[in-house]
Amino acid sequence: MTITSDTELRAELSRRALLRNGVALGALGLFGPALLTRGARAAAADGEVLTGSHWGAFRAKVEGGRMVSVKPWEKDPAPSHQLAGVLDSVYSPTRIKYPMVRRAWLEKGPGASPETRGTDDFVRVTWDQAIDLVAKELVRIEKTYGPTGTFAGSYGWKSPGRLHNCQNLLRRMMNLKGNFVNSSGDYSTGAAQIIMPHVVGTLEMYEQQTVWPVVVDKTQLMVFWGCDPMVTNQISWTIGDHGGYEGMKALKAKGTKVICIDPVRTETCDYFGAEWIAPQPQTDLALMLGIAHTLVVEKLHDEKFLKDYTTGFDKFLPYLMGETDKTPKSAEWAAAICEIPADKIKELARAFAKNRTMLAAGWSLQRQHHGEQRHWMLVTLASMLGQIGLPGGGFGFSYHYANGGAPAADAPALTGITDGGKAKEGAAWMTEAGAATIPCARVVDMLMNPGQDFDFNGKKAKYPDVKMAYWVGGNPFVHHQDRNRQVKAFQKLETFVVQDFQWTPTARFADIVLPATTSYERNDIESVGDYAGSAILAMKKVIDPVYESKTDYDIFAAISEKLGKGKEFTEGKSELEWIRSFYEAALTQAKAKKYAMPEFDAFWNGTGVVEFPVTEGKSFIRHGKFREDPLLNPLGTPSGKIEIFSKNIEKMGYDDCPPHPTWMEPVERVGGPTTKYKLHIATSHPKSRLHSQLCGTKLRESYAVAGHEPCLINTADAKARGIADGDVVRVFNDRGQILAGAIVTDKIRPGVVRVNEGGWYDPAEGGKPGTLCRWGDVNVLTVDMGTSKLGQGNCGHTAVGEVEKYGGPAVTVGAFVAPKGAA
Amino acid sequence: MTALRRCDDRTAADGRPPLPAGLDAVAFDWLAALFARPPGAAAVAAHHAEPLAGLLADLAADPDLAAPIAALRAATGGEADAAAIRIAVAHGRLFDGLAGPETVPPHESAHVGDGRLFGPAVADMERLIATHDLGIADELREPADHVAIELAVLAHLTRLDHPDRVALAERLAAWVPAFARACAAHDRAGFHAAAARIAAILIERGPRDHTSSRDETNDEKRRTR
Repeated sequence: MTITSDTELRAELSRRALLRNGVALGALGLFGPALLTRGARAAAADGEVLTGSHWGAFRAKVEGGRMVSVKPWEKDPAPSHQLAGVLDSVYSPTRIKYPMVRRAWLEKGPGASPETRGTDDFVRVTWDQAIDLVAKELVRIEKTYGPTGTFAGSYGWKSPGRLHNCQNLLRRMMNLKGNFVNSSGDYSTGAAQIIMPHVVGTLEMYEQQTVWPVVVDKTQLMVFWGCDPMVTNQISWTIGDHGGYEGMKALKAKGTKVICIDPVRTETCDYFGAEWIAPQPQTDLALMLGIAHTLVVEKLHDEKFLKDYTTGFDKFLPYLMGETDKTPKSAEWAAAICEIPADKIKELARAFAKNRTMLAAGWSLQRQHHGEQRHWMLVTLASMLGQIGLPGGGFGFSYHYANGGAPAADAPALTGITDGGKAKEGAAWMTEAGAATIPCARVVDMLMNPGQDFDFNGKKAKYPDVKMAYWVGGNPFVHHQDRNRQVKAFQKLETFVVQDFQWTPTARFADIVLPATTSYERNDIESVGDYAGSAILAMKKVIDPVYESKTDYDIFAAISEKLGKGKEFTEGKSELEWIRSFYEAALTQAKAKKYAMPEFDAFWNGTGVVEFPVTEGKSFIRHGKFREDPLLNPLGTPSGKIEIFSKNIEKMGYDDCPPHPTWMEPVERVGGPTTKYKLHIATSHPKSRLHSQLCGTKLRESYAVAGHEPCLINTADAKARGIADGDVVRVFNDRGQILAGAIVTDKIRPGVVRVNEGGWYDPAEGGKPGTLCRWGDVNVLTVDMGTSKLGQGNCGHTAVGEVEKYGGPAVTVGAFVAPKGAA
Repeated sequence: MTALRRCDDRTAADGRPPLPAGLDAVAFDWLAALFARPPGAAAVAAHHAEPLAGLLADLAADPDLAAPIAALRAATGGEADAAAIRIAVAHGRLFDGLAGPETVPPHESAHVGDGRLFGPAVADMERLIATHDLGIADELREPADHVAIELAVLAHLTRLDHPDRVALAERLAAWVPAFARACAAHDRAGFHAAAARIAAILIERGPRDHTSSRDETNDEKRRTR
C-alpha cells in the first residue's frame, strides 16, 4: 500500500480506526444518539382488556404489550365486522408518529407558501417545540386579529369517551385562552334539526323512536325511506349496542310488509325481501306530495287528526291541490318528476292509509338542496295519515341511526368533561361558547367571504375573518363538500393545526400536526347505546401510547399550561380522577332512583361494565303523550301543535324556505331544467367504514375495486358507456374528477351511480386545483352550499355528473410505478 | 489504495468473497442510522469526506454494490442543506405515514405474515434484544422490528462474531429485499431506495445458514402471507 501524503495517511488511519474498533457512527457525532442501550427492559404485560368503540364493545387480547386480536363483547347481539379494522387502525402505517411542522411554515413563518400545503413536506419537532409553537400562535392570532381570529368549531366523529372528548377539550382550552369561532349543528341532520323545532317543537332527530317491540307488534307496513339501517346501525356516537338489529330480526320473523324507497336496492331491502321503490334522487318531496294529493282526492286523509293536532293545513291544502300555482301536486305531476308511475304512487297512498304505517325516514333526504322540506313534508304526510302517537304508526327519523328504537334502559345519565361554556337549552351537548358561531357546514363560505352577511334560522350574522383553525377528531378534507373549493379556501389560513392519530387527508394539509393516541391507548368511560343507554362501560387502556403519541387530554393540558391556565384546565384532577367523578355523579342519580350500581372501585377493578334493565322503555311510543292529551302535553311550537304552516318561518321571508312544505327545483338534478349531466351521484354511508374512519385499514381490501373506491353503476348506463364490471372509471363534473372501480349491477336504478362518502382524498398533485383524486373521494364532486337560509345544512347528496372508462396512465396504488433511476 | 483484507473461512451464500473484516458491522450500523432518522446536512456532507467516503469506496468495489453506492452518492451530493431536506421529506413520505397509501413501513411485520404492524416479529426481536442484555434507546419510539433496530442488532452481533448473527441475518434476508423493492417503487429522492438496496445485498453477502436454502425459506414465508 502506498501512502503519498499526510492527508491520505490521516484518512487511512481514520478509516482503519472505524473498521478495527468497530466504532459506531455515534463517534462521528453526526447521526444522532445510539439506537441501542445497555440493559434489558422488563417484559410488558399479557392480558385481556374490555373496552369500547363506535362499532361496539370488545375484548382486546394483549401479548407482550401488543394488541394481537379483538373479539366482540359477548353481550353484543350483532357485532360489526369492522372490529378487525379497529385493530388495524391502532397499528396503521399511517399513524402520526411525532409532532411535525410544515417546512415552509417553520422556516418562513405563518402563512408562508400556502400552495405547499398538501405536498407532504414536514419537519419533525419535539413536543416541547410543538406545544410552544401552538400556544404562541394562538396568542399571536388573538392579539393581532381579535376574538374571532381562530376557528375551533372542529366538526367530526372523533372517538367515544367522556373524558377524552377531544372537541370539548379543544374548546375548554380555547375558552381559557380567550375567544374563538365555534360551530353549530352537524353534517348528519343539518337541515332537519333546524326545521323540526319549528314543526314539532323539539330537535326530534336524536330522540327516541317508537320502540322496536311496539313496531314489531303493531306496525303493518314498515317504510324505510332513504335509509339503510342494516348498514348504518353498525355504528353509534357512543358505544354501539346494536339493539336495532334485534328489532329488525324480529320484524322480519313477524313477516311484516316492508317497502324500501331508495335509488339503490339496499342491504336492508334485501334483508327483508322488501318491495323496492326507486325514485330519482332529490325528488322524494314530489313523491310525498303526490301521495298526499291522492289521500285528499280519495278522502283517505284524517281530517280529525289534522284539526286536533296540527295547524296550518288549511294554508297548505290550496298549494297541494294547485289552487295557488295552477299546478295540482297530483300523482301524475309527481310521476313526471320522480319517475315512479302515477298508479304506484296512488297505490302507496292507499296502502299507507289502510295499514298501521311507520314512515322511517333517513337523513340522506335532507342532505340536499332545500333539505328542510323533506322531513317537514314527511311529518305533514304522517299527520294526514293521522297515526302519529299510535302504537306502531306515524314517523321515526332514527331507526337507521345508532340503533334508535332500541328500548331505553332505566339508567342514570353519564356526564363528561365540559368545554366551560354556558349550557344551552336543548340537547345536552350544546353549549354556548365562542365569540361567534357559524353553522358547521358553512366553514368554507366563512373562509371565502369574511365580513359577508349570512342568514341562519331567522337571524343574520357576519362571517368572521378567521386566520387560524385548530381541528381535532375530524377529517374535513373528506367530509366537506366541493373539495377543490375547500383546498383553495384553506390556503387562506395563516396557520392550520391538526390533531389526530392518523395522517388523514386533513392532516396532510396542515401546518402543525400533533399525534394523538387512539382510545385504546388511554383510559376513559362511556355509555353503551345512544338510545338504549343499556350499560356504562370502563374503556380501559389496552396498550401504552405508540410512537410519541399523547392523549388528547394531555395535549390540551400542556397547551393550557403553556398559556398559564394549566390548573384551570385540569382542576387538579388526573385522568382516573376525572373518570371517577363522572361515574360517581351517575352513581348519585342511580342511588336516588334505586338503580343497582356498584361503587367506582368495584366497577373499575371488577368487570368494568354495569348493565341496566329495560322496564317501561320497551313500550315507549313517540308522541304518545301528545296524542293522549295535546292540551296537557303540548309540543314546543308556538301553537303547541304540529305546524304544517309556520308563521315564524313566514316572517323570515326566505325565498328558499317558504312557510309550508314546498317543491322547489334544486340547483342541479338529473332531469332538471338547467342540468346537462345525465347521472346523479349518490353518496350514501359505506358498509365498512364510519364515514372516513377505518379507510386506512385492511377493511379496504374487502371492498376496493381495482384498487379504488367502488362505483355502483346500472347495467344499461354501463353498457351505453362501454364500461365493464371491474373497470377503473373516471367520475367527473364541473367541480372535479375522481377515479373509482366500477361495479355494474341492477341493484341501482338507471340514471344514478353511487360512490360512498368517506373515501380518503388522495390528490395526484396535492394543493393543485382540479387535480385527480386517485382513490375516489366523492366529495370532490358535491355541491358546497347551504340547504337554505333556514338550516344552512350541507348538501352532500346534491351532485350530478358523468362517468367514463378511465384511459390515462395507471395510478392504482399497489402497482409499482417504474422507479426513476433507482438501483 | 487497496482495502485491508484478511483470509476468512466464511463464505457468502453465493460464493462471492466476503467483506473485509469489520466492514459489514460498520456498514450495518451506518445503514441503521440512515433509516432511524433522516440525516441532517452535516451527516449528508459526511458521505463525501473521510472516513465515510472510504467506506463507500470499499463497498463499491463489490460489483453488485457499485450502482446503489453511486445512487446514494448522487442523492447526498450537491448542496448539503438542500439534499438533507430532500431526504427528510422522502423519509416522512416513505416511513412516517405522510404518503397515506404509498407509505412503505420500515418494519418487518409489514412485509411478512398478514402485514399488520406490531406483529409477532416484534416479540421475537424483543426477546433477542433482551437475551443480549440490550435495550432500545428511549428517543427511538419504534417497535423492535424496525429495520434500523434489526440492522443495529446485526451490527452488534457481527462485531461480537456471535452465532446468533446467522439467524438474525436470515430473518432480515426474508423481508429486506421486499422492503427494498417497495422503497424503489415509491422513493422520489433515490436515497432510501439506494440504502435499502445496499442493505439487502449486504445481508445476502454475510454469513448465512447453508443447511437450508434461502429460496426455500423465502417461499415458505411467502406462503404464510
